[in-house]
Amino acid sequence: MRIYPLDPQGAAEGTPLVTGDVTLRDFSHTSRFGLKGRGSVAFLQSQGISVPGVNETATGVLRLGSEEVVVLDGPTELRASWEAAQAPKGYYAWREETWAMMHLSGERLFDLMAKICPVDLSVSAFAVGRIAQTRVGYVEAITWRNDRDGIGFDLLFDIAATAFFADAVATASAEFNREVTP
Amino acid sequence: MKILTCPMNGPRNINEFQSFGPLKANPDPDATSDADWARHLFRADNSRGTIVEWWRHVPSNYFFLAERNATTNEVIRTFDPSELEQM
Amino acid sequence: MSRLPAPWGNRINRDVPVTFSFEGRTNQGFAGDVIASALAAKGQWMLSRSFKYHRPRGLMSMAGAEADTLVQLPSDPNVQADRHPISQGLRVSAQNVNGSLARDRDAYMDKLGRFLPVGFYYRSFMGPTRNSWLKMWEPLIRKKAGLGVVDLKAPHADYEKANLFCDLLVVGGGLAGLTAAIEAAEAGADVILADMEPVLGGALTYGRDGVDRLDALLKQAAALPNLRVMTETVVNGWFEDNWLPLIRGNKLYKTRAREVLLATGSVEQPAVFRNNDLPGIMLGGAAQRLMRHYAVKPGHRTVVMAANIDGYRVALDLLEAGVELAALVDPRPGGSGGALASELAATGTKVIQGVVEEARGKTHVTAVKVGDDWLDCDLAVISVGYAPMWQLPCHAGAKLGYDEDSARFSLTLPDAALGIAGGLAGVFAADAVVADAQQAAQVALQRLNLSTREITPVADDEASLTNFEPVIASHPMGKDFVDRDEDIQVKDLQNAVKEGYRELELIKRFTTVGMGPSQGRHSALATARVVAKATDRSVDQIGVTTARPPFGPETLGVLSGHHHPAERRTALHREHIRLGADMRPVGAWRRPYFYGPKVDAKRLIEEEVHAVRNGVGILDVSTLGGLEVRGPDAGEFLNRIYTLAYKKQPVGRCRYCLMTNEMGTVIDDGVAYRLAEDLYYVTATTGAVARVYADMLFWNAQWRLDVDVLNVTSAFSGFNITGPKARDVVTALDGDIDFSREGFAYLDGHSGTVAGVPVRAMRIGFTGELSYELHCPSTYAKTLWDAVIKVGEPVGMRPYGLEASRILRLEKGHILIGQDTDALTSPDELGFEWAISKTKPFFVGKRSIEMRRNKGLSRKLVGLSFDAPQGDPNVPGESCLVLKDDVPVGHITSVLWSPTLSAHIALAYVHGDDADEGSVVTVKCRNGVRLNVPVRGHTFFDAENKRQEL
Repeated sequence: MRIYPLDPQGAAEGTPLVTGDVTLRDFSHTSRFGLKGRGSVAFLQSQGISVPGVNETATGVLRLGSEEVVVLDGPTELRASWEAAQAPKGYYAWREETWAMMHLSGERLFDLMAKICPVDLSVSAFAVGRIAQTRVGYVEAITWRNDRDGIGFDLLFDIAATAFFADAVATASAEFNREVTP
Repeated sequence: MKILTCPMNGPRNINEFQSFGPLKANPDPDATSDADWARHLFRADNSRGTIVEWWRHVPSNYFFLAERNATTNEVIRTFDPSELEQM
Repeated sequence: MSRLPAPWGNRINRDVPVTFSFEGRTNQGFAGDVIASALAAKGQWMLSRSFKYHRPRGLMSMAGAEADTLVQLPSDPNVQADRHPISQGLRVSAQNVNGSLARDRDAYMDKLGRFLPVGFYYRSFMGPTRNSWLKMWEPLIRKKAGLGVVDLKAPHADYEKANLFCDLLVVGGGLAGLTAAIEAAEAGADVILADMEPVLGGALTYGRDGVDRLDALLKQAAALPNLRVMTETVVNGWFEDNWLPLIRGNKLYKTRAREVLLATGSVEQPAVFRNNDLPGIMLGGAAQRLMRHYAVKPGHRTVVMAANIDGYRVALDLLEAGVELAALVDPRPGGSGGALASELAATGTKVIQGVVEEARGKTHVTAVKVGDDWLDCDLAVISVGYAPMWQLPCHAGAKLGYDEDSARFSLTLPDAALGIAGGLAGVFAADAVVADAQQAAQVALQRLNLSTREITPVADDEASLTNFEPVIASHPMGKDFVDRDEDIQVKDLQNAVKEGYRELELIKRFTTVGMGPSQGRHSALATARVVAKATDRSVDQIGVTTARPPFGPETLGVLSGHHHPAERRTALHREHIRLGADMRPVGAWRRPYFYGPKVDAKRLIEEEVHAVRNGVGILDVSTLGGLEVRGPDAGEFLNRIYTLAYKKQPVGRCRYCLMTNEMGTVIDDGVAYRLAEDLYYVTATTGAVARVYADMLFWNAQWRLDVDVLNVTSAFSGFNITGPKARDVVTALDGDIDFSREGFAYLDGHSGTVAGVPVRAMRIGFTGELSYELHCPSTYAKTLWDAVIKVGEPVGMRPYGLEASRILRLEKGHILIGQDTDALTSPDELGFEWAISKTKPFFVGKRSIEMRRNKGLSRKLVGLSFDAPQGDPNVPGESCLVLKDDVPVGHITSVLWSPTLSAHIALAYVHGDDADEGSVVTVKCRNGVRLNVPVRGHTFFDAENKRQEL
């Protein structure tokens, strides 16, 4: 059985995630097939997956470098195909283990992002489809617009900092919403 | 706060970056005298005018080079290290 | 004193009375009043005693700059009484007062003035003994000259930070700023307009004829959604690439603007004459603010000194408010009133050509001297000129010059995305200001590639009459203040020049002129003029001292924001807490220090050590750095990064890694497990892995080998199962890894599945015992841990913490990088010659290691032991010195009590000549006792290293 930080017995068990004018949700369980190094992009393309430009995301594929990609919620057989493929095919990047994945949304979303991220993520400055690799909530993070149900940002960051990140978001959003539920 | 334009991530606050010092010639260790090796390690030119420096964009771990005017602190351009091979 | 009737008092709400106290006495004002206005309305003009001479002081500018208006709130010192609003129950007291404000026991200081020349502190308080300044004078002077009192029990407050972005930031919401912001917003720019005051308008809110113009502008601004107005916001500096901190209350907005337009206006300048600091003597703008903002009549009978049109405007305002105008004193031959001169003449006001030379009065002005005449008055208003608010432009690199003809400072801007407009640019007549602001906005719009239009310039018919350089009326008896904050008189500056200080920066440091809270806003112009005269140079040559951020004071809370020390948790965090671990920070990580109640720490730690030596223990090593190095050139890459050779390392074997930098200094160590031809799993120390990873990427950015490096520190968890019974534990696990003695040799690495978990297993350890280290993806860590704990139970396996681990490693003499090494440690100093490949042509640090070897060893790390009982003071602590012939040659790097050996054991640097076993070295304990101890090898326990190979 795999245990993610916010699961029962996980490292961040019991850490409250804010809800209200700012809402933080955990998606760390979702699959993240990451490759890095020479051949990564060519391998995905050989599987019929189209790869966007660097620091762009499209149809669940994140391009984080010239040879660094992550497929979100990809086909389950992708890893098996990769294992079987001939090098160069990139190297496995352990993205389901290195990173937590979370989602921020809510009425005061942009006010919160302005507090915890130094990059201008406002609608006019940061288009859907772009990726920012920067700092969010005092940790290095990757973020992009993903409107799951209403406008929101998806975030990837060091999985060991899960509790810390949730606390940082709670502190920063306390200005906007006092309601915190475990 | 100064802005540095990363060739991969675009313009960012300078505190997202780590400096790795000026681009130096790597002398052949075996063909270099002790005195010259010490000079290579410890002496910075600290010259005026345009210098080329290594930078790392920390969140993306991307290394690149920047040409900077050491007198005015103006960054003239930044570029990927692969361009070094063409220089 | 009753208030003036409306429309005077546009900031107060007469329907809402507010009660507060000053110096223990209850006062009443209105909502919208500031402390100073509410007090002035009650006839309380004196607000403080001056810094050095304890002279009575009151408001001068009503603009929040000078020290004279600083008051104490219960948990807030140095609050500006002329800007801070009153609130119900607010308790205000005066600062820098011994006794009460009215009867300050230190007022005698005023009489001692001639004994307290500038530079006094530097000369007079050097004796009688070497430390007199620190022990006696400094505390005494601080008490006499101190300002507010810090409340150490101040309640907690939240301080916030946010980032802001805009096309154009306009600083200053007066006529120029408002006009420019509207102009730019109408063209489609995203504009922020920031102003310090609670309402926009600047001088329009208190000047004559400003209100109608202001109403129209405010309506226009309100209709523009892309114009964000931030009032009560201080723009506290300019930093590179248009990055400006905007402070509003407890919130700091770090603002990045593509274009900045400064419309911060100018500061009215006081005149210099004897007793020019008496309460009741104020600037024209202050009198107007009192009347228009707060409906406070500034006096009954006044003398106005006017060297510009604004002075005439003030005079007309005062007459309208019912103040008797004794005379208007105009120093400019030909007069400064322009078109207003005749309007004032029509009122029958007496106009005298001349200057105010002196004032008198005890705690309030009672008369001023003009020529040979003393004119009775309880108010003297000064309107003689302005200085531009040069601080922000100068932060941005603007140069300040002085124009002798117009007697004013002027700014030359750097080549940047920055503009100035209005009073700051030396434009004063309203119509000219509007045109200038529109033009400045258009320049910014053009750079923003937004539509532009032609602006027709309007001539400024007031500029030539705005400033005047009066004869500085220095008085033989002094008290002619140039800088009221610091009690600096004309002669203090002249004396500084006589002492040989010619340069302004030096004069500032010698006299402290311009160092007070107003930072030269009211003194720089007069200082420059005095120094110019005294050194026979032009004002332009003197200039002002360098302006640096911050513009105004800022609290530490604003700088700090929320305090967020980094915290990383291993996958087993909850499990450790469940087991009773004392979790402690190790860098950003939290790690178990030991397991069990704190009171039993010593016993528990010893038990944990014994468990490992005699049975089996388990340690969470997940914080250890983990790196995957992969690709066809992976072996070659490691060969260059580390000191040993890895290209021929067999798959399925582990090898020690020692990393040196180019100087040949040891910077990290770890183990490389070769999982496949093109894949190594490399560990690095917890604290260094981030740097090691960055260094690896940096080197390969230059080498460009076909290799990829990935930091998997968080992705992989690990635990070390160690002790003579370790094999009993691992062989009991379900899985496909053969943990038998034959199948899993020392330094072997095997991968497979254990308890359904993908595992990388290595026979490595830090304790010197038989050890197996199991690494797995972190989401599986709890599953694997549970399986190991279950099979460990029958043999009494015990989890142990960091302190036991440190003892175990020291018993084996294993070094900790950063603890037993420093910025100069070479492998030779550690006795690590065995870890340096002799066959490789190159690795980082090789050349320097060889060079340093040829120079001989100045020190070497050795083992020392001390037989004294645990806790004995005659045992050295960490960092205690190792001496040779009374000279320090090294120090203790690690020392701990070994429960296994019942002795204190230590690693220490000793002189290179004393490094052989049996040599005796001298160690100095913290209590000063010197011990002579024989040198031992590093390894205190199981010197032949048999146990780990069982």
